[in-house]
Amino acid sequence: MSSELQAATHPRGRPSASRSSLPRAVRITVAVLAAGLFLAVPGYGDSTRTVDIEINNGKVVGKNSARVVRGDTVILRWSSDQRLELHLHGYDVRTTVSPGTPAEMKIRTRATGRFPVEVHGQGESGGHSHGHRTIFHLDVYPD
Amino acid sequence: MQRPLRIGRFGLVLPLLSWPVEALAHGFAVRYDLPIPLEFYLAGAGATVALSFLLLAIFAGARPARVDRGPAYRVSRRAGRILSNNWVAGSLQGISVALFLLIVAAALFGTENPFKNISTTFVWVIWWVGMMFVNTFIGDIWALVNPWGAVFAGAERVLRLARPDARLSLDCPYPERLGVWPAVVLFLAFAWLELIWGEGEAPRMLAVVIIGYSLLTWTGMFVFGRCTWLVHGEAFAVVFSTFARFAPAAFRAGGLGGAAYCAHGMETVEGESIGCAACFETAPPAERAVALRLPGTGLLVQRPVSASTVAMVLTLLATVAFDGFLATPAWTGIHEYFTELSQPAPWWRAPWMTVALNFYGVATTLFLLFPLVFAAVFLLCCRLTVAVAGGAATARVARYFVLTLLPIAIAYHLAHYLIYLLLTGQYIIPAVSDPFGFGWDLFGTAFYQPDIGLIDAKFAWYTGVIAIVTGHVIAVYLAHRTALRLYSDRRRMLAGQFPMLALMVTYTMLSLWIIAQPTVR
Repeated sequence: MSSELQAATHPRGRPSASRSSLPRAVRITVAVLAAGLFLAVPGYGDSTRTVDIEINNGKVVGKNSARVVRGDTVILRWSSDQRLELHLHGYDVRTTVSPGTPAEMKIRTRATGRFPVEVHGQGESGGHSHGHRTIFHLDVYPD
Repeated sequence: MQRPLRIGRFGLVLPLLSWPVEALAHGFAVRYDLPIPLEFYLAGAGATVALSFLLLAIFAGARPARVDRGPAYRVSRRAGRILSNNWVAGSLQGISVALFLLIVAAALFGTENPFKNISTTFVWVIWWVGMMFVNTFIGDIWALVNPWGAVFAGAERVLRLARPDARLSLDCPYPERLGVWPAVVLFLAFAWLELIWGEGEAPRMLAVVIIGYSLLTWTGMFVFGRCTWLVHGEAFAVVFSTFARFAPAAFRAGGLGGAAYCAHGMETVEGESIGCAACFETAPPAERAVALRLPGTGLLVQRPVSASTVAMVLTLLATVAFDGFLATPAWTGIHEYFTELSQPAPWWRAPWMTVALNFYGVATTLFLLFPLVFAAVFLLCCRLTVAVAGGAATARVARYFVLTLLPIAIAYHLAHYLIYLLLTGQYIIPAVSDPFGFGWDLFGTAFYQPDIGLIDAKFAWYTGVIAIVTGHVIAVYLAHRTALRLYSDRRRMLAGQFPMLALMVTYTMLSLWIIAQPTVR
C-alpha cells in the first residue's frame, strides 16, 4: 500500500487525531473501522494490471483500448517495429518506444475518463494535421 | 481540501515545460469523456419515450382557448435601471474591451504553445463554450459586453464629441430579405474553423481569425449601422441571443407602439419587445426594464420568426450534433472508407495529401450536409403536421415551431461540453498569471496543473442523461404550447403535436446515442 493511497483515505480516520483524550478501545475501533472501510471500497485496492500492446507499422495490433477501474495501477507495455514517441493525454505520460526496446508507462489511476495515447512527431504517417494520431485509449471507469 | 495535494502530485508527474510546441498544437481539443454506459443510455431512452407519452396524456385534456396565453414574465425596472446606468454599462464594456485587447495581443505576441497562451483557452473554452452557457442560463450577457459593439460605440461617442452632427456609420438601408443570413454564413464559417480546420488552436492563426473577423464586423457596422449589424450580421450576437431566448432574464423595451415586429426584427407584444438588446439600448430610460420568466418560456413566440431565423436555429442544431458526431467511431469508419476508396493514389499525390484531402473533403461535405438534412427532416415534419392538422402553411408551421427544438440542443451541448469546460477550462488558471507564456507569475497561479480528477465520470453521466431528458421534456411542453396557439380546434391541436413529438424523440435519441459513443479523437 503506497503512502499516497493512505493519504487519500486518511480523512476517514480523522477522529483519532485527538489521540491522547480518547480511550484505547475507541482508538482501536476507529482503526479497525478505517481499515475495514479502506478494504471495502471496491476498486480502490492496489491491484496492478499489465497491458501488453504491440504496434506494427504505426498501428496497434488487436484491441486498441484497455478498461480499468479507478484506483488500479496500470502498466502499459509498448513494443513497436519502429521508433515512436507516445503520449498518454490527461495523465501526461510520455515514452519513446524503439524496435527491440519495449517501453513502459506506469499509471496510478485516480481520475476517471477516456484518455487517448497519441503518436507524436510523425509527420509522414497520417493524421489530418501535424501527424498526430490517436492509436490507443485508456478507459478509467468509476468504481 | 484535497486540491493542494493533487496539484503537488500532478506537478511531479508532468514536467512538460519544454515539450516541443509543434507536438502540442493539436492536442488542445482532446476530450476525456467516457461514453455513457449502456444502462444510462437505456434509462435515458426509456425515460424519453415514457415521459413523451405521459405528457401527451396530460396534454390530451388541454383546451386551446383556455391555455392560449403569452409567456408570463415579471418586469424588473430596477434591474433595467442598473443595466442602463452609464457607469455599469461602461465598466462592463471597458473590461470586455481590455480583455479583447489582451487576447489579441497574447495571440499575436505570446508563446505559440496553445496550452500556455491565454488566447486559445480563453477563446475556445471560456468564451465559446462558457459564454454560451452564461447566455443560455442567465440572459443575453454577450449583448452587454460584446467588444466589437463596444469599440464601435466608443468610436461613435468620440466622434460625437468632436463633431456633434457627424455619424460614424453610412447607415445604408439593410436589405430586409437578407434577414440573419449573414450571421448564418459567418457562423458556419466559424464552426468549420473550430470543428474541421483545427489550426485555430495555434495562437498566431487565432490572431489572424480574430483580426479578420473584427475588421469584417466593423465594416458591417460602418455600412449598415452598429445595431443593424449586431442584429443581422454579427454571428456571435445572433447565436448567443438565440440561446438567450431560453434564459430566465431578458431585455425588455417598452413604448414601441403597435408594430408587430420591432425595428430589429424581434416580435413585439403590446408595444414592448422582449429579448432585443438593440431596442433596450435605444428606448427612453423609463421604458427599459429586465423581464424575468421561467427558463424556456422565451422560446414561445406570439408571431412566426423569420425564415432566416429558422435557418439559424437549424444550423445551430446541426453543428452541435456534428460536433459530437466527429468524435464517434462512425465518423472514423466513414473517413477510413473514403481513404481506402481513393487508393491507389495517382503518382502526383503523396500519401499525406490523400489523407488531408479526404479528411477536409469528406468532413466538409458532411458538415454542409448536416444542416441540409436537419432542415429537410424538420420541414418534412412541418409538412406532416399540416397534413394531419390542416390549417397553416408548412413554412408558417416551421416558423412557429423551430425554437421549441432548442432545449434539446442546449441539453446536448451541456452533456457534451461539461467535462471539457471543467477540465480543459482549468488551463485558464495558469494562463491568468502568465497570459503570454513568457514565464511571468502575476497572481501566483502560473504553475497550477489542471486536475483531471476534478469531476467524476459518474457525475458527468448523471448530469448528461438528466439534462438531455429534461431538455426533451421542456421541448415537448413548448411544442404543445405552440400547437395550442396555432390550432383552435382541439382534435387538430392534438394531431398536430405528433410529428413534432416524433422529431423530438428522434433528436433526443441522437443526442443520447452520440454521448454513448466512445470518443475516438
